[in-house]
Amino acid sequence: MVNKVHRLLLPSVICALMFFSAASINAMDVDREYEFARGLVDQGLPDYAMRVLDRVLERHPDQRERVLLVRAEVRIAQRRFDDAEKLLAELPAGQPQAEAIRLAIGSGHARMGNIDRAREVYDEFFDRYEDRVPDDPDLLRVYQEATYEFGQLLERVGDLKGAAESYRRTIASELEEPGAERRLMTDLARLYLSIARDSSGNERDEFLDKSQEMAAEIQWGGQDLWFARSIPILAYVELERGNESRARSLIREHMETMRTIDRQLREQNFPMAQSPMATVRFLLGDLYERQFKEMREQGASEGDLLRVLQSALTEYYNVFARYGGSEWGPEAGIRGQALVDMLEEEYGRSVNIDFGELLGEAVQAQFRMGDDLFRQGRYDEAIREYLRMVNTYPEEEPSLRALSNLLLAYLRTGDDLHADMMVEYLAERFSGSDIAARAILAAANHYRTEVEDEEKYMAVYETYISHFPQHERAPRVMFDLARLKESESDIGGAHEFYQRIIETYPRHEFALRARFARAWAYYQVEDYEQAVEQFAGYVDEAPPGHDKVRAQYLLADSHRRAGEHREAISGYNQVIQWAGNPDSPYNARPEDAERNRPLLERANFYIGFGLGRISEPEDRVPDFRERAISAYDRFLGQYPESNLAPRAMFDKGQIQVGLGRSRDAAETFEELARTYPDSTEGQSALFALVDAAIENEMYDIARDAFQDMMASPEAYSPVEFTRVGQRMLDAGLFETVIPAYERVVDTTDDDGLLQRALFGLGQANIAQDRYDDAVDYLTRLFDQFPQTPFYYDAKFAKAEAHRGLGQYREAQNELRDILRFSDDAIRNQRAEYKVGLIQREAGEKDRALGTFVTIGLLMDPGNRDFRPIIEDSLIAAIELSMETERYDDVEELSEHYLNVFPRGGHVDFVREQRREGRRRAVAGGGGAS
Amino acid sequence: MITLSAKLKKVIWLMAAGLIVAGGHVYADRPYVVLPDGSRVEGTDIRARPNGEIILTEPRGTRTFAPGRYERAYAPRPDEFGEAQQLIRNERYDQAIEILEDLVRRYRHLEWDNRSMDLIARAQMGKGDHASAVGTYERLFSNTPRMRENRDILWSYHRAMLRAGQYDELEAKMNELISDGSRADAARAQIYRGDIKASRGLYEDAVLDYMRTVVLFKEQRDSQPEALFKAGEALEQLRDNRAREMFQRVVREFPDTRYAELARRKL
Repeated sequence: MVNKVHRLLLPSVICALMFFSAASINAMDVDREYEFARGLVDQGLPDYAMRVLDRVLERHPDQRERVLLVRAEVRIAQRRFDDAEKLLAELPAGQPQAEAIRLAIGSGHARMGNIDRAREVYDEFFDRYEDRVPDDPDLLRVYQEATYEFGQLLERVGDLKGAAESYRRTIASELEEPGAERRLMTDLARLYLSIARDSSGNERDEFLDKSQEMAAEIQWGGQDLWFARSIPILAYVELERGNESRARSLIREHMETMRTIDRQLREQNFPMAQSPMATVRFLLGDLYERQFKEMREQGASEGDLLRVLQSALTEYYNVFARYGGSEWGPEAGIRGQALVDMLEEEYGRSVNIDFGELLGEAVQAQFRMGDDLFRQGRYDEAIREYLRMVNTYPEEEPSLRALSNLLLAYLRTGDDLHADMMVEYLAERFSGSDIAARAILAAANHYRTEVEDEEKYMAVYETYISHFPQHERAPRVMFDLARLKESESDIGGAHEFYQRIIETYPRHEFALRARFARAWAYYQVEDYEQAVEQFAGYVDEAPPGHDKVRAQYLLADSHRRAGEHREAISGYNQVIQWAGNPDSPYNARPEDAERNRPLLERANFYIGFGLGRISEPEDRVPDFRERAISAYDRFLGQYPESNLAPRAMFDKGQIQVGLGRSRDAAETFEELARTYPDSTEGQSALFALVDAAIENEMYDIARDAFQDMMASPEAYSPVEFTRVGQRMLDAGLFETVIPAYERVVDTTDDDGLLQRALFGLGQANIAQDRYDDAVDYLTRLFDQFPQTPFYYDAKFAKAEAHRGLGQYREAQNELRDILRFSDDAIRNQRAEYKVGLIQREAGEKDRALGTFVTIGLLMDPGNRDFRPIIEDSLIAAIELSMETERYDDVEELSEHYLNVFPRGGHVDFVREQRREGRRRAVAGGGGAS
Repeated sequence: MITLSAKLKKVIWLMAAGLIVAGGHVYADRPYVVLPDGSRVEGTDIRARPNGEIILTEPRGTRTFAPGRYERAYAPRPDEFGEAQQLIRNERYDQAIEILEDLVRRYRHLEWDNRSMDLIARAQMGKGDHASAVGTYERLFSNTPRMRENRDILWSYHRAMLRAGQYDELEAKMNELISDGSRADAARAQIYRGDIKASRGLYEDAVLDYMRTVVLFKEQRDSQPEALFKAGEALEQLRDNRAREMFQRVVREFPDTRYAELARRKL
């Protein structure tokens, strides 16, 4: 009774407890929802049950406690006991419903083999009922169920005294059904007997007495199944006391009753494992075996001995075959086999057991024997037993389980060779079997987690995959292997597994997951082309939900990162369409809607981003930019607190500058600085304006913005001032460069920035004809940083500064420094040319002419890089020759020029000089140099 | 006006052979009128005026029943109705509809207008014109409100609404049936509500609706295979492996049903 009630008791008790504590409003509706939730658990849909409960709580917040309780039930059904306990911890202590569920957790732990945890739960409960039973009738039922289950648990772990005490409590709590009480009394009598066997001295006697008293009490209660079961208990008590004859008498006296009950049970199709004859016949076998041993010691004849042995074997094998499912079945088989072995070894007699019509049951029982040995961890014996059976019955119904256990037994005993053989055998012979598949998976897991032999477990997994491709766990196994490969950075290996999943199980949940995993891997290594393809494949297949939204977002993002802005915008729009509607199936679950929010935000941002970067067709670019501004405005309106808001405003400002809307840009950057002062963009707003203005050649704006920067220079870093200075320099806004770079020089200790600033100051001062200052800055540059990367450019600049000051010697010296250290032919040529110019300016015409002629005539005009300098040098030489009346040189140089630069920019000039030279030569003389 | 034509003679012959049974009603081959008290007045001929007056010819003469003075009036089953049915079976829907529209016109107030409209709607559904089918049913209900009580017709109307994508209106009706309808109707309405949600891509919600029928209406055996199968389909859309278990259950528990056949294909 107790067992049958168990499965129904807990939910019905909880139901009853809940019903009477329910609020009246909509009580029936809510009760129906709880019933529905439980029904879903029974249907294998516990996650849906939780959704139902979430909705109940949403609509009826006052149902919080009940929802918690039912959630705990669901977790128990899912075997997530720790989660169930966390839920119960939220309830007030002492609540009957909560007590019932706590015990259900204990029961669940016990079923899962978490014995210690189960004991804790039960002990905690029983501590509250040390010497009493609950008054509440429902809780009493729970208490009774708990004491019984606890007793079973303790029996299982070998705490027989504890188990006995627990059964005693159950009996003492006055069970309603008489049958249940008598059954428990029988269990208790049996337990006392077992305790007595393991005890000695007074304690042993005490428990034998208790067993006898309990059995006698059962007998007083009437002649039924329990009466029959009490007989062998009493017989064993006598046996334990050494009264074999009394034990036999007891059995003989009641044998007819036993047979009657046994027959009745058989006629009623009662499970024969429950029949008392199992115990009685085993006892008889035991008695015969004892008799055999006594007779052997006393030197009885072989014939007598064999007769007794035969009797023992008859009893044992009857128990084994007829009552194989009873607690005595396997032991009877083991004992019988031991006697058979002994007969063969000691008496040379082989035994042929004819099971007759019981053959099927006997086969089952034999396999159970192996199972029993396996469960007890007696692997070597289990292997022997299994081998014997599978060689006799290779492909009977229980054979496959035996083969699977055989594989596990080989693994436990470290016999890898045989284990490998079993794997192959199971895979080849039983490729459609779930049992075989699971055994092979267990083997693979053993090699992975206990032996940690990668080669072995991969080989076993491959065997599994190739022979059980349709097994329900195959896709998951492949997916796990792919993840394993990824963790080992074997991306190619991972992709292979993903591909196999997709091809072999296209409609499976893991095919989708594989698609995503693969796409993500490509995304992470920045192979955006592949990422796009894979994400698109995922999006095509996935059902509505957050995962699909995320994949779509990443698809768009991959396009963006690959510079494909149109495709990216289209993708982001799809994200918005799916996730932007609160009623869409993509937001059906609250957690999905929550997770979609950040993607929605970013998608909105990147639409503006993309529109700001599309560059074709060119005539539509302004339109795209305007749309980008509108998109950013929408984004800023919807997400003013977003981390991307400063960036959006910054981008918007830059676009406005690009569109020539400078005033709007200025306002935008001002607003940026004001609204997001702590952001990077906000802090750089003015700088951004300067940068953008220069980029768009809006120099007045740039100057004004720079003035604003200089009004609060401490708000900007030396880096920014350096950048501004460089921008100004590149744009030719020299008057602005100087204060920018001076700021850097005054505030930085960064060598790189300082060098750039000093050089920039040199250049800017030269441009403004402030040669003294230029020389000073450049001198300081060389003094502080003799190896400066600006060396050659700074030398040119300093030469120019000296030239500006009329310091021609110094200027030439700077240029000769270049010629001394540089091995760059073009740079050197340029330096030479500059020397020529300075010589000319210094009035050293002959020397200048020599310099120019050297360059013009000796440098290779076939080298394209040299041609500009050669051309300029020739022109300068022709001019100087004319000035120094060297008309033959004019002729020669002109001729050379026209040959080398027949389409040069100075052809007309040169022809004119040649003509003039000839004219002057004819008119007044003059000659060659 | 219907005269004692060859057609009627055929009907009389059939009457002699037995009663014609269709759609749960017993159609005698003699015309008759059912009075408000449930009694029946039979005649030899019957016709209806556009205003709903029924003129029944009896052996003694004619009787006129004004609207409100009778419950229903029946004419003998027209042969064309059978023809239309056969055309529908052969998927010649337009031809069937043409015949049936004529019957609607000619048998107004004589029961065959209602039957014909139902058949028109089914023909329209057969050719995929579900919106028109909905319109036809609404016309039927408007003409003869009591037809709403005919469960077959009512659920055919609901089916048309579903296929026509009229989800909002249908969902409201299903909600009513779920809360106030008979258990049979509630079980079925839950399935329909699940269908609506599935059409909207709300597969998880659809699973819940289907499973309500499975869990809470176990005794409605007729609805169980469909509910289980559709729960499997919705789970399949979600790539949930439990779909397979659902299909297996349909095959195992309802092996002789149409849904078992569909489930076998899935497996």
